[in-house]
Amino acid sequence: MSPVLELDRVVRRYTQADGSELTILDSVSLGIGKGETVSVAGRSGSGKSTLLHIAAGIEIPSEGTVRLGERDLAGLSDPERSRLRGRFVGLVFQFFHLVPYLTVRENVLLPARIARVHEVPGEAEDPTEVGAAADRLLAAVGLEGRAREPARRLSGGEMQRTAIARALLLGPALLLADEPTGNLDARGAGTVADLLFRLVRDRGAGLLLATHDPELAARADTRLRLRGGRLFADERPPSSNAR
Amino acid sequence: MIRLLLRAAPARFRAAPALGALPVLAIALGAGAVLSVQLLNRAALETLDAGLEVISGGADLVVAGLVEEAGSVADEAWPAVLATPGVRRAAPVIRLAGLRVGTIDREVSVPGWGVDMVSGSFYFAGADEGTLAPEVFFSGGIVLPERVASRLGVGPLNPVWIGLDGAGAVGRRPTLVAGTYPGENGHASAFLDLSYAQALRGRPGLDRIEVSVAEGSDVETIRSALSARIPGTRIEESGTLRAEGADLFAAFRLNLLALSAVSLLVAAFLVYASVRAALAARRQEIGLYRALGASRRRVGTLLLGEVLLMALAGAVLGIPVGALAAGASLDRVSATISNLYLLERIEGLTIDPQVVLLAGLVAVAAALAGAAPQVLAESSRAPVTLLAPGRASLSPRRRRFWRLGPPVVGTALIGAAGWAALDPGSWPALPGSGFGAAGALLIGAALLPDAVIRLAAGSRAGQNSAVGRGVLAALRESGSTGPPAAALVVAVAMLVGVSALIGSFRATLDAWLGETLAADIYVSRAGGAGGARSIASERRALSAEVLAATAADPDVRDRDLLRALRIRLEGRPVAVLGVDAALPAAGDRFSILGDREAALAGFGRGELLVSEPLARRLGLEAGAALSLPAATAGRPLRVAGVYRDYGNEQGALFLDRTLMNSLYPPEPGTPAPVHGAALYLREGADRAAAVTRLERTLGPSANVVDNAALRSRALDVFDQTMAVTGLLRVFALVIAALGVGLFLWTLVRERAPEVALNRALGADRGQVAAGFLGRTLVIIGISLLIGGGAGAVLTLLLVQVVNPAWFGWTLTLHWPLEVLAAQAAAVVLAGLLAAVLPARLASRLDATALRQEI
Repeated sequence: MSPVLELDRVVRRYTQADGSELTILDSVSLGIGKGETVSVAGRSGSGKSTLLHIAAGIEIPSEGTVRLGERDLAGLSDPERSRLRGRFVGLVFQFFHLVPYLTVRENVLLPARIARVHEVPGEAEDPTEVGAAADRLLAAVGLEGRAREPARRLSGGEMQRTAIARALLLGPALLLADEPTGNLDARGAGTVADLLFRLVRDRGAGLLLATHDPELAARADTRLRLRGGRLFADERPPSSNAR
Repeated sequence: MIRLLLRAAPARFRAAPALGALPVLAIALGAGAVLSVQLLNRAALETLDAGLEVISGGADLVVAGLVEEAGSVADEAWPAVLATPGVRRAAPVIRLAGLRVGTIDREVSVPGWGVDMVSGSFYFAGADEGTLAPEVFFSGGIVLPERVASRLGVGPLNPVWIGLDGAGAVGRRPTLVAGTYPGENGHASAFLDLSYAQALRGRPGLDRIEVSVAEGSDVETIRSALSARIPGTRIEESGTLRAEGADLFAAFRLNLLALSAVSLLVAAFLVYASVRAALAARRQEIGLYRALGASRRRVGTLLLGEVLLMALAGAVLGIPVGALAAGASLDRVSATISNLYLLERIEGLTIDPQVVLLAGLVAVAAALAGAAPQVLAESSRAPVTLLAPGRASLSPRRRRFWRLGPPVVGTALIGAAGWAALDPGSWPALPGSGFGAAGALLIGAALLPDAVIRLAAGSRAGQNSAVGRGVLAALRESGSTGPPAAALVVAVAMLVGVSALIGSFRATLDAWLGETLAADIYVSRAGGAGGARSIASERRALSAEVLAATAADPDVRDRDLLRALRIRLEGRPVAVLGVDAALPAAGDRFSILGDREAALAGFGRGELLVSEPLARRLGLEAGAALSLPAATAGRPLRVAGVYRDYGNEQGALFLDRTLMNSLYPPEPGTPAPVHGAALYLREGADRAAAVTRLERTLGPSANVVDNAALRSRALDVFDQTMAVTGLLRVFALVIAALGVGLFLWTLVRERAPEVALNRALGADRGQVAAGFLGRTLVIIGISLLIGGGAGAVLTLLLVQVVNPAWFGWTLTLHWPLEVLAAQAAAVVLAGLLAAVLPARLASRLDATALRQEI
């Protein structure tokens, strides 16, 4: 199975105000296949978000290689990386990041608008009009009744469900979720986690999940931990993914 | 806490220098606009004062001629005044209009006076003895203000030449500098001994006698005694002339003031924008203060205190801006007052601390007014809202009053202004009501964009393009889009209104010139600017040789000779013009309002034709009776009709020249002067050949222009006159464009996470920039839509209400479509240019900003 995401000896360093260098990620290697779910735990500031940003092509590693599907991000220009991210990667954030003045449905449709896509692969790989796809996703996350409302009127859980629908609209091969339940209460967190894993598995996408929540992390096929910039298997022998 | 905030201010400025600098710049521009207009107004008044001020010091009364001609007070009046009991001192004065002083390589124009040094206490006489040589003064030397002397590079006893405008090099006379004086408090005139001044002017007579009353004497009694003793003069109290002069300028000054107020209004929007930006960046900080126990009032006061500091910095920066702007437009204003008010040009600006202070205070007040709504809103938010991530930046839900109030009030204000514009007759004719309606219109228009944007917020079109999504964002966020749109609405309305007014005026003038310039060729004395202006200061009569040459020209069929003098009616100067009423073509020179045949028939019978501005001012109409001072006190003349006159707003009247010569007889033994000749050529005559022939015959002593050239010259003068409005229009547009730019920049700061989200979802830099372009297009579109409509109403107001009320002119409405289209293009360009930097800034953001919250 060819990986949808492959990180090979990725290093990320930042130059600090005093001129010294801080290494956030130190020779991190990771591969995620289609339909595979991986969680990454770690303290605040351990580099979880940076790892996800590098995986999405939002940040450029100081060293190492990042491959999304067949494409090596190092050789791509900013517009090419943006296009690839738009079509290949779905993103879910801790603070939801919905556009407050857009409706729920318009928020879900936003990736299609940006990518200028009118059709997406449907359940039987048949092309489906994006509007219909958005409606189906909203129904799947239980928000079909609120599709026309401005996003600012939603509760936290509803916002995150909308964000998940948005992330899945274009049928991405990889879903990156950064503390998706970190801003929700226990009940809301459970609902969102169920939804996230069900939809990812239904669609056969790979999932890289950064979280503090051990229960959520435990639902992933593979559990990893970031410590001192390096990636370790979490509470079990290192899996084949953590090379 | 205050100390903490003040200490943190430099760090805040370093963190976001543009956020601090832009509002300061906006306030500086607003203060600069007000200051420049005030300085120009003051300079214009000083120029006026130069002709009207009482210069001998301590004078109580002024004896002046009934007819405002040079030398209209006879020399004999002086001893008669001195002999009047109770008169302590009488200083004879003549005004040397158009005095020029020069050296071999430099020359300057300076207000000049002829005085008798021993009869008054002139301010130059107090100069150090070392800098004044009385014996040189009494021998024809000139006393100069130090400013003029240093410009010429001369000092006491240095040689200079003096001459009058238009007299040419031949009329120059060599003399010595008799002394210099500081020339403080706006006194900057040159002085000659009376007899030498009369010789330079080439005619006897005084312009006025300034009278000081002996201690214990009653001024009114002496005034009556002087009236009885010196007939044919008017005796005024010394302050009257200046008050009348100030009144003369009122409309012009108010016009400039109104234009500068528009700049200030736009600047206030800009301050609103910048304060909004600054507060948006500090919401959590404000929330923290509130959470730590600071009251709303305290937070509000602190924030306003910061705005005050910013405003003071802007006001200080506005001083050089205003001075530079005033200096840059001095020539234009000078041309305007020369053309409109028949004065000499303004020589320089004086920076008066009081004016600077006034402009600064007005700018600070506008800044505080602009900042207050946002400060109030932020300090009223609950601390939890300010501290909660992702909540405070959302547009707050407004109460119904705030949603409905502004559009309702705006519509009401526009409705009232529209009523005034469309039905001027029913509008209360209060002083300044036209300007009041214009102000209400602009404020009303500024209140509408928010509501219009909200009405369009339901639109869903265009989301597939980045520009379309920007448009949608702008429409959905009326709170963000409304204020810059409002600023641009005011600027656009002002641009449309003033441009259409000027276009209407120019078209009306052009049509009027075509209608009334009936003769083929016009001849006037060289040196005068021709037309109304030559009536203004020194009359320059045509010589007998010139008149004979025009009569002898083989192609001249008829000659319409003009005599001009100036009188005062109800305290303001009025041109009295005599023409040959019996001439078959005489009527062609008038565009009569009302019954043309009856008016011209009456004119032929010795009745008056009065100009429209004069008729409005004095409430005259056909059939009214009018007494002319010094001529028909006991026998008023009948007004035959009213004619359109766009030549000057002071007012003029025509009568038959023969009648005029009998009412105002020339000096004994001299022929009645003729100041202009309109020549009608024989059918088939070559006009260009006739002009060339007359120019050759008359030489440099006369101006010979044909009909077309005169028309074109008049339009040039008009363009020159109106050029002054250009700078203020540019000011308003620049400030509005800055406002648009600042608002977009604010949005970049406020919406950085939203931009980052778009980048995370795959948008490239171009798409992000295009989104900001979409937002800008909404602002521009709304401003053109509402501003264009408001500008049309403003045009009607200016043409149909303000102009008749303040200038007495009836204008035909004309829309200068080319100019308006060019201005619309300028607005679009200015808006887009303003969007370039914010869009660039936004496009540089990357998805890592998602670490913040939307």
